[in-house]
Amino acid sequence: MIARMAWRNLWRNRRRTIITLVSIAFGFLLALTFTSLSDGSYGQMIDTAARMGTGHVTIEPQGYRDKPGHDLVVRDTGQLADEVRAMPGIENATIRIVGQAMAATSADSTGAGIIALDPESEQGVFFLLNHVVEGQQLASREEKKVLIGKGMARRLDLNLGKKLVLTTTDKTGEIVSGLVRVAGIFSTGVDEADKYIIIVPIDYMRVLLGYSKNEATQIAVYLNDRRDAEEKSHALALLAAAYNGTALPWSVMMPDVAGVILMDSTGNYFLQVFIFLLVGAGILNTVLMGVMERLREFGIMLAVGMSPGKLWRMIMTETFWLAVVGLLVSSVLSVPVYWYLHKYGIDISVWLGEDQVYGGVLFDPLMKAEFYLDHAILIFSGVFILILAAGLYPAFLAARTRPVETIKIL
Amino acid sequence: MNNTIVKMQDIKKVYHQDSVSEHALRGLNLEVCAGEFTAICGPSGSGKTTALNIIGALDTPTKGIIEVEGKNLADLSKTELARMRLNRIGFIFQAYNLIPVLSAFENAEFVLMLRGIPEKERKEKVRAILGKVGMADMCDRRPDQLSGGQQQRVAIARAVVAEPALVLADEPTANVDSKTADSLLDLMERLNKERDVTFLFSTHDHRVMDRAARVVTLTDGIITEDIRR
Repeated sequence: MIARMAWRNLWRNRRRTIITLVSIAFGFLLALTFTSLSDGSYGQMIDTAARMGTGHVTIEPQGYRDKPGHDLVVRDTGQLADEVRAMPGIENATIRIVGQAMAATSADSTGAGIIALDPESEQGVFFLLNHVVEGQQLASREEKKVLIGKGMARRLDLNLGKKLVLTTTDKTGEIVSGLVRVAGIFSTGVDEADKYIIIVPIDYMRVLLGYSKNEATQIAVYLNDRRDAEEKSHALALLAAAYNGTALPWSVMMPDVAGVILMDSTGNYFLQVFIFLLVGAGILNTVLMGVMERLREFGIMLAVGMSPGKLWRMIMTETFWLAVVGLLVSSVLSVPVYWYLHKYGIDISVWLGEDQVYGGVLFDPLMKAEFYLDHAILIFSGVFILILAAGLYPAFLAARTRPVETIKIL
Repeated sequence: MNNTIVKMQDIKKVYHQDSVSEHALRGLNLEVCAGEFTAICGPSGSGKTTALNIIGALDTPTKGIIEVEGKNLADLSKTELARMRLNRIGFIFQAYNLIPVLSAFENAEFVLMLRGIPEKERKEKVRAILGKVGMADMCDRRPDQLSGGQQQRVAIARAVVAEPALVLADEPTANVDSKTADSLLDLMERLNKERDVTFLFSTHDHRVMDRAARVVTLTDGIITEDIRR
């Protein structure tokens, strides 16, 4: 009967209950929208960063973090990459040699980051290959041709087919040079990439550095679900150990991106806490009003023998019903909003312009929502607990009612 | 006396508001026996309400001893007092004070539910009492769908359904017309006789006083007249 009374009490003042439900739904919707848009944006940033750089998880030589150099290699990378690809949850794994070199032309010279790769297996995987705006892609793993960024082309006054000398140190520490020609020019919109990176065929680089056919400095591992990076990196580290390798998640490989996401998500977190507090204050207000105007009734209930504990339970049950209905309404209203944001997204290029760089990563101005069950459960339970918490004080007040003061009768 | 249900000994009640002290009861001595049909009357401010509050364990005296069924209320905890109200005392209020979200049936059932009576037994008792008070065909109506007299009938049903030892009734006829008042008094008289329920009224209504077997008059917090018929 307590549950039935609580349910009926909830609807005694329909207008007020509906307004409260709307405020709950608004808070929930806001939290879900913020979170799902943030999750979508962070996911897009992480994926872009992974495809621009070193994958969701990177296998590199042991000790490379402390002392990066061409003298450290991962052995038998072909076999290792095959084993990695066979693991569950792995989308792809590509072998690369990364390092630094001096790029020089007759006009000028500049420091460059070398990414040597297999053009065929990296198509559709490595982000920069999708942004070749002039010339053509690298045709093979051996040719003496490179792709450079638009910024570097401008700096070194390079055009398609022009010569470029790459100077670096080989596996033994000797200085080596190689003459290559520009096959294509890419433009990503990210200055750091366009001015600095040179893409080189992997076998040509192996020859230049004195590596054997299966030696490399990196395997970029792409996951089906980026959120598994931490867990997968542990498993991959165990596997790679036999090949002189270790594995690191993207958050370690790209601390700038991780930092930006952490900073942004912390800001979002506080904003959501603030919104929740506002919504909670609104709920507290309406539940409190509902209690204060029924004190006489509570006095009667206590007078006829209801215990304060039962009265407390009744108010909390009312709050429970409010939470259940509130979350039901919230869920129903949130589905179409989420579906729209997931399918069509919000284009913020109007305010930010095209091709924004955020944390050194190209940021897609079309923000799309992404649904993470754990985050949805967190919001759901957060709102639920918030509503119940808002009912505690009014329930306490109701239970403390003194019949003699409220009914003034007997 | 074995069948004394209420015993008030030198009960004093002083209300303090700001720096003013108001003496509501100035040494009240009253005994009510089981099965009595007693009216406490007196002018406004004479202490009727305070006396019933104290008997009903809703308020405590400033001084004196109050016993209900031989138990000194001062010795009982809040929970025990609540339990005593639930199990031994029925209340009838001037303004009916039914629970608005419950039907007539559920209002009468409420006290039994609080007492943890099994559902089947509960339903039977409620059906019986609602039949007795003439509300059997209005079980599903909510208080706002009932007239004042009908609401008071349900309130009486709620007060007596759990078969309490004592029913405290505050001006039970104050808000109903004279015909309804007469029928309510008939009803309570019948319950008093048939079920041996003790009724203690606070009233201004001469019809109640005329029906009461005992009329206690309070003036300025003390008994000035106690007539048994």
